[in-house]
Amino acid sequence: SQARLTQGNGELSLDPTHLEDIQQHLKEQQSGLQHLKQIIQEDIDDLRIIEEGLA
Amino acid sequence: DTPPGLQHENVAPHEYFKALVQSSEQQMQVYRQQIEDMENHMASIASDPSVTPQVLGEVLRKQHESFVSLAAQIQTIHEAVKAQKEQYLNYRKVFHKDTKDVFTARRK
Repeated sequence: SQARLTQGNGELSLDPTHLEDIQQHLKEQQSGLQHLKQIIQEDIDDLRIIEEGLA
Repeated sequence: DTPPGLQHENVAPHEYFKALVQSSEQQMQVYRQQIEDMENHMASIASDPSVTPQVLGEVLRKQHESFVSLAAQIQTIHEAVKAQKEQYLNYRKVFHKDTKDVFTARRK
C-alpha cells in the first residue's frame, strides 16, 4: 500500500491526513533500497572474481 | 591454448574487457553511494519533528522519483554485468579449456 494521493491542478499531491501511509511508503522504499544494495554487492563480488581471473 | 604468435592479438580484447569490468565496478560503487545519500536524507527527514506533512509528502515524491530512476540505471548495469560474467566463462572455456562456473562455485 502506498500513501494515498489526491489530484489537484493536474499535479499529484499527498493527502496530509495519512501519516501512517507515509510511514508505510517510507518502509517500502527502504526495503527497495536494501534490495538494490544487495544486487550491487553481488555484482561487485562477481566483477572482482573476473578481475582476479584476468589479473 | 592460444598459439604464441597470436598472443599480441589477444592483448587488445583482454585489456578492453578488463576496462569494461573495472568501469562496471566503479559505476556500481557510485550507485551504492547514491543509495546511502538517499537513505541518510530519508532518515534525517523522518526524524525531524518540525517537518510538516506537506513537506514530507513533497520529499517523498522526489525520493520516489529518484528511487525509480536509480533502480532503472542499476538494472541496466546489472544486465551488463550478467553479460560480462557470461563472456568471462566463455573466455575461460575458449582460452583455458576450463568449464568451471567460478561464480556459483563462490556462492556455495
